[in-house]
Amino acid sequence: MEFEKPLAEWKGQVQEIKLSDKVIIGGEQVFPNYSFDGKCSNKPAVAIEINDVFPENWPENLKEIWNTDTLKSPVERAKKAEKEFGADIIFFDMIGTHQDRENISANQAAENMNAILKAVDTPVIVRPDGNFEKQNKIFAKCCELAERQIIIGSAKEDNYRTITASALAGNHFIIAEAPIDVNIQKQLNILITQMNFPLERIIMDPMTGGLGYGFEYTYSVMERIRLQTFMDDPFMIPPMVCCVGQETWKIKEIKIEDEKYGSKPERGINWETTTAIGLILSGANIVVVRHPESVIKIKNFIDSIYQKSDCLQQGI
Amino acid sequence: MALTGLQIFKLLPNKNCGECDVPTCLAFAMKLAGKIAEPQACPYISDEAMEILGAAQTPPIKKIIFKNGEKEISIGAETVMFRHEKTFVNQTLIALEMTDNLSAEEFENELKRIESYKYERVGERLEPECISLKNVSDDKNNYLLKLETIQSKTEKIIILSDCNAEIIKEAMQLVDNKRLILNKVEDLSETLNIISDTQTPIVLSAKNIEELLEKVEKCEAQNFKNIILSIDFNNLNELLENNVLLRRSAIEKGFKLAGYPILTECTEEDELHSAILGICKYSSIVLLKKFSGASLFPLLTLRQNIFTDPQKPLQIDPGIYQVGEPDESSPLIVTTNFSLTYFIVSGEIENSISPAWLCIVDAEGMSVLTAWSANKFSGEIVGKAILNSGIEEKINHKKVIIPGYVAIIRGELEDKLPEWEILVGPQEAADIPKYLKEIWK
Amino acid sequence: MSKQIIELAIQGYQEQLNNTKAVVQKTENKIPADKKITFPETAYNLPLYFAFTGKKIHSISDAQNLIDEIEKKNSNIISADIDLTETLDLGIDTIILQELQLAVESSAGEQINFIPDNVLRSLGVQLVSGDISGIAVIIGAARDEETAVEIIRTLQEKNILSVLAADYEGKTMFEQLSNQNVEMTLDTYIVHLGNKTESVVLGLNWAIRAALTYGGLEGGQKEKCLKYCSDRIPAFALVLGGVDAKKVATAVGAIAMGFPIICNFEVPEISVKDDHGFEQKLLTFELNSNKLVEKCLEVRNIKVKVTEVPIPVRYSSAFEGERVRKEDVALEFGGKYSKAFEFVEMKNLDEVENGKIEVIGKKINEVEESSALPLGIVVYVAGRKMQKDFEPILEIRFHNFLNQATGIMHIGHRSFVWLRISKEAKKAGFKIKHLGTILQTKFLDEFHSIIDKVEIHIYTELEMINKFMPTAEKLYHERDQRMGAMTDESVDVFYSCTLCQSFAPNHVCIITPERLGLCGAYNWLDGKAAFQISPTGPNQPVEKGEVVNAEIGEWEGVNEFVYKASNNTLERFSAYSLIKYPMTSCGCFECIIAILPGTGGFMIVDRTFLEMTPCGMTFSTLAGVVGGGQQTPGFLGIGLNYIVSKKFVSAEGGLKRLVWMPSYVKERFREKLDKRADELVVPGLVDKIADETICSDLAGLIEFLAEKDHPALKMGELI
Repeated sequence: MEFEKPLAEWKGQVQEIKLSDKVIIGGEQVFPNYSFDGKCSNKPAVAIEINDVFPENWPENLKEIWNTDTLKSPVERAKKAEKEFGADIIFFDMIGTHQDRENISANQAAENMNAILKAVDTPVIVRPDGNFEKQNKIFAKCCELAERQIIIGSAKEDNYRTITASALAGNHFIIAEAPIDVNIQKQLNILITQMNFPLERIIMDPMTGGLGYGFEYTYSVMERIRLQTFMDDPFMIPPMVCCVGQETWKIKEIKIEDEKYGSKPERGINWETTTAIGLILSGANIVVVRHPESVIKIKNFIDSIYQKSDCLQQGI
Repeated sequence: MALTGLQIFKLLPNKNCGECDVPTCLAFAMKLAGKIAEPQACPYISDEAMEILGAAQTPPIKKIIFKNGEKEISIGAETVMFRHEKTFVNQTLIALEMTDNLSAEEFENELKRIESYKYERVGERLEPECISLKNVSDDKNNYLLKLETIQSKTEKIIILSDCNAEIIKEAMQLVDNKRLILNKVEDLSETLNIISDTQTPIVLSAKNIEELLEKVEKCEAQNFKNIILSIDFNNLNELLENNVLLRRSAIEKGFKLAGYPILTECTEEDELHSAILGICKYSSIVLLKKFSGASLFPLLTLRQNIFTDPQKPLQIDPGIYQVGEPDESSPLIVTTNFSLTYFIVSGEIENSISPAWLCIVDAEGMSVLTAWSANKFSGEIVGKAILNSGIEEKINHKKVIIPGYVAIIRGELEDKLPEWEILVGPQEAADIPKYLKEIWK
Repeated sequence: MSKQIIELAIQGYQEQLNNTKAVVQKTENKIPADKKITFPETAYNLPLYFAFTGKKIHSISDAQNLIDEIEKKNSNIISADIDLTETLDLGIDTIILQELQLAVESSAGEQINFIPDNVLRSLGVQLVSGDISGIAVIIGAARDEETAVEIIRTLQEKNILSVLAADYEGKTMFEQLSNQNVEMTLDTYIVHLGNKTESVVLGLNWAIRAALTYGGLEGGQKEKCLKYCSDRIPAFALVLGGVDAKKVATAVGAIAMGFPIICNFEVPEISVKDDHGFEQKLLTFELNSNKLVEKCLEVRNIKVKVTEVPIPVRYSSAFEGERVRKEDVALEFGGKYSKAFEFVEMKNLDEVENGKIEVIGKKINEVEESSALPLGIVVYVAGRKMQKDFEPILEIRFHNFLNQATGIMHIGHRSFVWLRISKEAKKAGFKIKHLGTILQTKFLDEFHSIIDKVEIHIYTELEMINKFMPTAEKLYHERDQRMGAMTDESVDVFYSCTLCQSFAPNHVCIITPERLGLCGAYNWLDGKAAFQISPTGPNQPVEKGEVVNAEIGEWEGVNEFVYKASNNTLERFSAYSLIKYPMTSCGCFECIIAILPGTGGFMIVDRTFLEMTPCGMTFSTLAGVVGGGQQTPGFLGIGLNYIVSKKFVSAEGGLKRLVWMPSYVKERFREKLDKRADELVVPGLVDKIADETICSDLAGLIEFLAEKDHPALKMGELI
């Protein structure tokens, strides 16, 4: 029987961003992953999260992978993430800069960042923690002192000026984070570009709700953002990043001890993988995870779903 | 084009008899418009109205109803491409495969294992609804014996897989037809003859959409309606393409042949992947072969999330949550069980990096202000929730922080918790870190 | 531009030309021909020159060529017969010559206080992010050292970066401050550029690099660079003492970059009109040194960001819900204890003294504990974008702003105010004046895009209250009249609200003067103000455009807007109809209108009514029917106040069709409903409307309506 494929026409295109020679994200000319409708140029990238201080609160089975003598320093962990675990991007989350934690200074934070930048070849997302005042100091320092181009996060509706100015001066990329809200996301993109920051250097973080903890909000908001992109809304074109690991490894569902829930380590990996894949389906261009097994599984998924398309392999 | 409530109302007798269980025809019309009632529920409806409504009421994707113990489960009846447009109506069923070549004891153990996969999350029971029994032994008696075991020991829907007409015939005697699905039948035309009266749901499978639609056409010609579609795939790209194109054909193009639910047989090497894809992208049944609690639990949670009505937000289990690692002197914060409220409040407590206890009150999934105005977050209810939560054994103080927006319940809460100090927290979650640092300390 | 200034500018340019020439000639022999002429630690070579031309100076011969080029270009300018543009160009040439001169001197080894790129960056980030609120280029010296300190302290308080340059009659600001031991570092926001007039250019070439760095601009984009400086770099020059020709030429250069000049001596003023039609001063003066900085801020339109409210008690939204109980009261105002009122009034920019807070009457320490005083709070505001219509929107915020201070409780508004100050707050040092401080700070902070100046008067003397009360009452009355007289026909623009699209993705509220938002929280004025405050926010202006159907309230412009904002789902929209293209609902409606077949009318039920209603559905069932951004003819989510609007479902006959509503809603609106009924010439209508005390079912309702002869029965069915 004759079947005429009901292909959809999508107007517009997700901004393609070249983060490094090997890592290019975005650029799809159709709804995410719909390569049968048209061109999806680049596969989503998988990032691994590395913290500046050792994250003691991670669950044991995740911690033990990262907590060996040889992996004491963040630099070693980042190297391992790149070389052995196949991270396309390193997500350097500086939890130690929080004023009520180690309160690492802005200068020290920039130094820590440069050590990572030197140790790995991947693009690096840098994100400080703390109140706005503290974060702003770090934005300024990191953007000024970074020895190569970085992706700095996160600009928010209430605090986007310093980070934007800093990234503008240092020619860096910026992550624009909105609280699971299409309109605020768009507004934030506009506000950032009104400071003369090019839209081509923005990556959106729609904020990730963990699976079982608001996942469906993020899922639908991302779909809606992309539908707006393809209604040719010029301000909704940036690619999207989702911080999956952070919203996975803290929830109670992965800590339950009970046979019917299966093995704990496997469950954690599956939870992280399921969340990441779900968000890739709704349009994530970068997913950030913590477990190396998750990286493998997610990449297998990506390879399979991009089988037919003539897209670029990340990291080659 | 779907009819509006008022258009439907005009077709109704306007007797306001109440026999359909709602007091007015208008209310009934609105239920019909919302597709939460069937026109047959009206005893006085005219034939003409019935015809118009029947046509307008038929969703672009065929609805198939099963019996699962006492309750009914449906698949299909979907109306949208994206969940935010309205909602995904019937959630993807999860089917687990068993083979008939196990010994009786092994089979029972396997069945026990499958039956153990039952979970509770936010007041809902999550479990796989179907068992697929694959005919490997090619031994009719053995197969029927195993089938008998499943049918007597579980309430699950049963998929008969790889069976010939003879087995099917006998199986249908053994099991309630409302619990059966036929998959990979050996002889399609013969099977169709057997089930022409019972209309037992049957899976039509093919290598591609064209081939599949030919089969559908053939079945429809024989007036057979309970069809489920299945297409082989070599990689996830093909699975995604097939599912999206079928759904699009049915919903956007009104192409009737494509308007049936889809069954996805997950491939063993990336079973989790194809199941996730199936749940997110339009499969009505996903069939798993290798499975464990470690994969089922996240999949069931994913399904729960995806099939939540976007306008009726998901709830969080009421009770005490730890944010960070709180100790006996950590603060106690109370809020509602609207999942987004929970998500944002706990996130802000994390930002503050001071660990805290979070008491989630059952407010029927409403946000703080809405819950308060609907009287679901009163001093009485909050007080009771705190007393019943067992938090008193975990902390050495009697202070509780309530959301700033409901400062007004403070007095009432003081009455309910006379020994407690009621602190009024900030209105916005974003101010929690500041509050914990400056006020709590 | 005055002749005098033009003459001085030409003369100053000539002097500068000669000066630069001399320096280059003098230096020519001192430095090798291949030595690069540049400023240290910069990628921009000679930043002004680079920004304006895209070219760089490489050698001393390049420098010579540049001088020749400028000289040649201006060779025929000898008379004062040139226009503003030509004069400004001359100013630019002057500062380019100055820059060249300093670069040559620097290359020859002379100490020049050029601001290197890395400092530019760290200051630039603070500038672009708004942490530095402005840049004062101070030229000359103050009258005396004390005044110098006073000026600099005021600037510091306002987070303004001061760059010091040039002398006046041998005195410099730098010396004056050094003598007074003022710390001068980047951290204290003071930078010394040098004692020569030429050193001013080091401030200007810092500004131009900010344009290049943060404006994403390239060398050679002269107009864009100038526009960036003018629009985005809040710099101004403060000229102290007096001027000579060279200073005038330099100042003209600064004006050309969009930086206004404020002098502390009399000069002929120059001004132009800005985009909003406001007078933008380019050259002006202020003789009173106490008001000098304030004048600078006003001229350059600099808003100082205040993050902390400077009061002795803690201030945060966390305290908003707090109550001050009777036994904790130190002092209270209003309520049933005394007369009190508050109002906001708009004035012209020159009528308001920003920062002034005046308390007339008894102070907190002069009264007995737990006693009451009368209170009048009068807030005068002014701003380039302020409108009379915004007064009530500002006034309503008194409550929210004052309540956020711990130990302060504010209830009510207008002349029904009740305010308490707790004993604890008093102990912490809270004074009545601090009420003003809070309002002053918060108004400027939250409404900075519409308010430029705030002046506050607080009265605690009965005599003053009695004097002002009539003014206040008149103001309230006029305002209500104006709002009441405002109709949908009287405006060209409505406002949208898409705040709720987070959960109702395709829903758009259209707010008109006669139909407030369905949540009841936003009226047309709120929408208008919200758009001024946040132009990219959820409230956007909607041009009505051509009328499609006046009866149902349909306009072309609104249709277009709604189609787009609803993600291409809603093609037509009516503002006044329940049946034809009714407005969609997000779910936040205060109440719902539902058609009642058989009565010819409709009913209203609000959120708090939980029982069954005559339509056969409860509020929550109805909410499921109308919510979610779908058009559902026959059903409408609305804000309660819409009931008494003249446009209330006017397409179908409005109030005359209302047959049932909850009794407490009826009572709450009785007076206004009666008035509307009279206007519709159906006196006694309200008593013909049923409520739950009469019936909750359709049959009972029809009976009641027949008995009362409700007009809806004769109006024919709605469908």
